[in-house]
Amino acid sequence: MIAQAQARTQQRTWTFPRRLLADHIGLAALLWLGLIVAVTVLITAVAYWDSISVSGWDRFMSTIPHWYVAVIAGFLAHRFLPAAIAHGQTRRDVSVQLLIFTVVFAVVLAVLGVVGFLLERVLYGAMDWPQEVAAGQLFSSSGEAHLIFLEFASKFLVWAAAGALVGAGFYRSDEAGGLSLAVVWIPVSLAGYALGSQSGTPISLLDFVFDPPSLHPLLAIAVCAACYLVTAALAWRVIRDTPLRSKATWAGRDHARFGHSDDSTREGNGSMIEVRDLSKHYGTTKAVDQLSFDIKPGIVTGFLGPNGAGKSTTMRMILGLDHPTSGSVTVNGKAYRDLPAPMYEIGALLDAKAIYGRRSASQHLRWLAQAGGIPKQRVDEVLDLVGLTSVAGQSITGFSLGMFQRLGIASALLGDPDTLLFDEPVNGLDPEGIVWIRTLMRRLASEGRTIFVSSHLMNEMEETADHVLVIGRGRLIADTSMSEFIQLSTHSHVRVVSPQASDLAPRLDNAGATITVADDGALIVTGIEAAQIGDIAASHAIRLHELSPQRARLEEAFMERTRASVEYHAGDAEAVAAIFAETTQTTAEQEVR
Amino acid sequence: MATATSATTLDRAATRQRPSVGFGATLASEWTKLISARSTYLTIGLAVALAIGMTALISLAVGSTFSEWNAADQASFEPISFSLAGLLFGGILIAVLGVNLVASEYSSGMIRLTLSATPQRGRLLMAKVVLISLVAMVVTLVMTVGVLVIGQAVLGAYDMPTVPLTDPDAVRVIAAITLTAPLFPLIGATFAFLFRSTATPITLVLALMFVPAMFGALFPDWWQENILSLLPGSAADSLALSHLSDSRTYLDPVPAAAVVVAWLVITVGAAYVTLTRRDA
Repeated sequence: MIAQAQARTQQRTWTFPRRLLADHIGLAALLWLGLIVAVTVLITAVAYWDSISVSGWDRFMSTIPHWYVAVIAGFLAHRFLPAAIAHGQTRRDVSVQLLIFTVVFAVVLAVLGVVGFLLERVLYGAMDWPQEVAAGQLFSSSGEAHLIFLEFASKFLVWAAAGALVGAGFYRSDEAGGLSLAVVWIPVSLAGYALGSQSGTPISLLDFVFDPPSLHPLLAIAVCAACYLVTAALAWRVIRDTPLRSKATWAGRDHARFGHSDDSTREGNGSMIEVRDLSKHYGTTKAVDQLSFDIKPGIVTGFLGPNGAGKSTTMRMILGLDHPTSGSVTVNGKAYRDLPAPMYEIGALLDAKAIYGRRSASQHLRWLAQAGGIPKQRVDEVLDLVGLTSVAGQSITGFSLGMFQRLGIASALLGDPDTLLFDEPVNGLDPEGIVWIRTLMRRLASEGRTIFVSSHLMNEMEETADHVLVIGRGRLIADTSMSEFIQLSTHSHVRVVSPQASDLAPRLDNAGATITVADDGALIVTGIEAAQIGDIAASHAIRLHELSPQRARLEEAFMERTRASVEYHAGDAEAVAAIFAETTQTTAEQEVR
Repeated sequence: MATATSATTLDRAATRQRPSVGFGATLASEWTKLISARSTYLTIGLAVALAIGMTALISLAVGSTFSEWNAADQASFEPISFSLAGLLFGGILIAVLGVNLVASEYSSGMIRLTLSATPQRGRLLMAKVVLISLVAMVVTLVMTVGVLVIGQAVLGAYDMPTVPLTDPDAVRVIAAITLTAPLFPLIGATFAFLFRSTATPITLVLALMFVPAMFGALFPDWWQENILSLLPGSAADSLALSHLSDSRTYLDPVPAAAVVVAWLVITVGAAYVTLTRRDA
């Protein structure tokens, strides 16, 4: 199991750059190709129309702005590096991914440059224009065509590499693209001017080589190489200093239980979320399917379901972020968008790490407070409430996941709302953080607030929620109190370990028990009590090494329920089977961690 | 924990009165976002430094080689337009800033936080538009005055013709460039709302800025006069620079202003429609 998980992580490391290339570089390259084709066709058409010779444009490709390459490479690297660090297992992984990224980006653009060049040749041939260089010469090993090809390839490589390195080096800065332009361009331009270039703006060391001014090519190469070395050092510093994502966060998740607070301290205050026939379809996929429920005031309602069951989509629709395909959802009787001051009515924690920019925690909360019409002094109060006062002035770029989670909860509490929405609040937290969130949720509920919290972790819900909504494949499977949910869904059983299990089993069977054998050889006995099993064993002098009654856990209840729904929705058995498969997989992954 | 509990409960009555949250609150919030991010200062600083630095370099190059120019070129030398060359570099960064103020919200996912605090999406769009316009105008005003001062100073040092800032031509240039400064940053920002990414809007806005300038002159006169003149860059240049040099893409001031406004109405309108209809 562990080896399998490692294989999975390993695979993810290497598939990651591929996905990024597909998502971003593909788009940038397509736009670039579009530009080349459009300009070539236009120039040729115009020249044909006006019967002018365009032989002077024989190498127009070199006039296309190279800074585009640097700016885009810078932005992509800026986007890419944090994710690479999050996905990489070692610093070498991250460096190699950055290298792959740079080379692929440069190669894609260089190939497109050649495509543009060949396209020119075809058009020029059709026009019977004189050609300085014929297409056939491009790949020959002599003559100017060879140099042009080399120029394309090397220029793109240099610009992409420099841009990517600057973007990586300044990846914490939000202006990596602009910086890559400035850092790559300024020193090289300055060097060019200072050393007497008359050929406009020398934009890469290759310009010095192919279009030599009064400067010795070796000197130019040295100046530019120095610039690029500095950027490479910056990038390396980032990779070296950035902590790789920590693993093993769930080891202690079955932490000591937190006592549920007394029901009598709660007061219903009528605040409520109403969901009616809510559906959200993406194409033919039904992410949320005819969902109807009420969130009752003053209690913690758990929203349970495997990954991809539609929990987050439902929460986003409650907050007016996603538009339902059909149905309606109201907060305190109104659609979210019609609330005059929404942050006073409902606070939400969706993705705590989705914060942009290098700013401090208190600055982040300040813009949010202003947007919600909340007085500024409330910022300090919520920071105190979540225990972030001591780091309020520090840049959030250095925050741990737990600190982000606290900051997210602080922002949800800004308007002191009666209703709170938490989407997977304990995901990725350490045991201490989990206990903290659990305690906080109980306390907020005891103050009379309505809490709606989603999770794919059954055990976690059992510790926190009073009421539970179970959702699978976008449909509501259960809407019941937590205790009832566990009670109704499963039977308790007794685990028996005995060296004489083969003797014991038939005797228990005779007593009316149902027996299955667990993987480790233990007998799982249902139908009779532990005391009765002990008596039977004693009367036959059978030794017992373990005799433990097992209380049904929520996890089992959930599986039981989803399994049961196969019978309720006979036509949809496949869907439920799929839910079950996902759940087991999720659990298995957590066990590995 | 005990103190923390009292902090929530004590305060509940105080925050109970719900103020009306309007456009002012959204604008103030966007302003705080802008001034609290380090990147804002970095970009603006780089823009000003690049504009002024490149103008100084270009003026140096012009000044040191002027004596070698032929007589016709020397006679037609126009000091203001040579000083403005560096603005291009600052302009790229301001356009990138406009894109990034929107695109960063999408790339980080913070747009969901922003929209859950301000569910009125049109109001958010208008706040961004107003803020980007103001920033672009203020920064461009500083850059334009800066490049003119530096450019004229360098040219003056080479005993070349110069123009004082108070010259009517210079004043018109400063006013027109400042007033049209929001054009490309806003187009970039609206593209960012449309594409929800960084690379595409930057590519498009830079292409819109530079491709006509680079290849437009190859087009037949009719095309230049009737089609290319309707592009945002040509219209803005007609307003700012037409009194300095002839251009085939020239438009009279009123039609030119109308073209600029039309580009803004169309792009902001498209952003409004997609922003309000699409899932965040």
